[in-house]
Amino acid sequence: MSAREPALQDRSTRRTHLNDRAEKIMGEAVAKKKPQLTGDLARLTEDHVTDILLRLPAKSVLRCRAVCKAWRDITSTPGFLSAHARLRPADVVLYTYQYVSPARRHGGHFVDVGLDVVPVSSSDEAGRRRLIRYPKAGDWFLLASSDGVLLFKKNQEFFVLFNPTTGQWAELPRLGLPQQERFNRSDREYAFYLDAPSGEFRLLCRRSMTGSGKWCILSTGAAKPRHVDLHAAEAAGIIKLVSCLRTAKAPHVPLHGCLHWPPHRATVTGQTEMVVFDMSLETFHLMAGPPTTTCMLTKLFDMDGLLVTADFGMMVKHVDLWFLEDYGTRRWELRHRVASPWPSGYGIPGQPSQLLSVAAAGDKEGNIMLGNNKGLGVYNVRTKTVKAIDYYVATSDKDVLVSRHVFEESLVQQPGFVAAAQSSIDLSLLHF
Amino acid sequence: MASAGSGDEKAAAAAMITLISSDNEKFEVTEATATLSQTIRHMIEDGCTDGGVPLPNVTSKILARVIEYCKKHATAAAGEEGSSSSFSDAAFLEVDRAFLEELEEFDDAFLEVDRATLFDLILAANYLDIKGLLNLTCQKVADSVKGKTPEQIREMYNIVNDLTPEEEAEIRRETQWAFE
Repeated sequence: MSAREPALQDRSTRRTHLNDRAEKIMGEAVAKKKPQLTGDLARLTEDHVTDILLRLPAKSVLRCRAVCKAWRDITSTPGFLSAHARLRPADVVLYTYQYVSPARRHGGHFVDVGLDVVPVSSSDEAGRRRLIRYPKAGDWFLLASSDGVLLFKKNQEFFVLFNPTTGQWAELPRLGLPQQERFNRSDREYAFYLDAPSGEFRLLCRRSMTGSGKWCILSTGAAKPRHVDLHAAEAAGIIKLVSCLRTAKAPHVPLHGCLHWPPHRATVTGQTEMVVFDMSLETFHLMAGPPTTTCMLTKLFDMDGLLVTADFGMMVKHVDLWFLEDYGTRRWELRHRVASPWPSGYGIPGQPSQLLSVAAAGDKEGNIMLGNNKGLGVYNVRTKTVKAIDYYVATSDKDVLVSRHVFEESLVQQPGFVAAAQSSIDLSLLHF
Repeated sequence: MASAGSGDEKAAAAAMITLISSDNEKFEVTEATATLSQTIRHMIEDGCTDGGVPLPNVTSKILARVIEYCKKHATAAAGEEGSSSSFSDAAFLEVDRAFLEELEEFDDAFLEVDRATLFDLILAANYLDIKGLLNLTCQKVADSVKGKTPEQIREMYNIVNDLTPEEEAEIRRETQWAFE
């Protein structure tokens, strides 16, 4: 027995994916003297406790910091926070309209917009929570959501970033428009993303609407816009395929260091293709999309590391889910055909007004949320069943609108973000 | 045996492995069941399982529960094998929906244990490197903490609050919304 024991000990150090991560994270805390685990959990290693705490939603993690020193330290390391953010399930963002009084609802006189989120796996209202509430009159507009941060355009001029999980704010540098374009209100924002190596949030903007070029990147922490050369992409005709953030049918999706836009059909070849932006090289290129796409309304999302398109089709009787099986060889596979979550007869998503309020998002457990405020369902790829979610969409009032945005909470303290009290942004009309 | 319907039933029946608990109790299991443990799988690959596999860190009471889990999950694992993400494998998608539901019910019932046993199972799952069981048991503990106040968590697990009142107040002030 003793002869075999060393081998067994050696094997037992092999860990799960999550445990490996936990181990790495614990390494960071080794340097300082570690507070000890106490009570029943002291039987487990710190790796196990880390593994357990990584599974909790942000609110619970923050509460766990107040349990004891050991838990506070485990849940405060940068490694824990980024691993935690990567493990968060996706939420779908809802716009909730608040009225002065119920009587004024029918006139459409809403005064506030509340941003609520529901988990993709949600089967009841318990998971729904409020991120922020802002006044309609204050002219806040939600442009994009990335890595736990919401991007607002305020007064059609300033770019304000908000992390609802940490309660922290940041502002991007002013665009500084050329004199002749000061009063041109055209959309100028094309891509919003987290640059992982620097921890900066970046917004790709078009500074001049005339002629070519004049592209720039606004970064958190930078004082001024940075010029970026996109002449090659403009010459290749790629830029004109990219929708700006405000009017895009579906948001771009970050994966493998690149942003991906939903597929479209190429005018010349008739093949479907997708626009891709390399976040480190800051260049655009095209890649092959799923072989057949109606292109009426195709949403794109990331499902546990795989790109998935949801093709809502022409007739909206069903939604086709294409998975990019192999990113390297661009092999797409039609894996699922899901009965449309809309009741037949109305809620056709092909209508322009519907395009911005269609949700398609997936989580790590195999759940995919599809639909809009006429009908919303959660499809599970394992059981191949659709569960209708009707706790709010079934009501006939228009108080809730499903947004195209996906939100994943993040406790990561990104550089350039400060608490509301330290921020120079006017937050006086906001509620949390 | 729970592996009914699996193609390698014959091979599994032929190869039996003996597991020996810390209190010297012997358990005969099929290779398909035993290899849910990566630790044992590697021992089999290295050809050092003749005469039984001693598991000095696992009591017979816990080993019996672990084997119960492995037997039930051996068939599901056969479908899941070699897949980077659990739903990307076409074979796995074909697994009977009823079986998945049954497996879920089994897991729920399996976790109806006292806290000490749950922690024993976490330690055994870690030692034997059984990913699914470690996942299941850690999630169970996480679920018990979710939504609770720091006071409730301390009470539940007998944790000593070694934070100074000032430190605790600061944590609460920094992220007030989480405590509302």
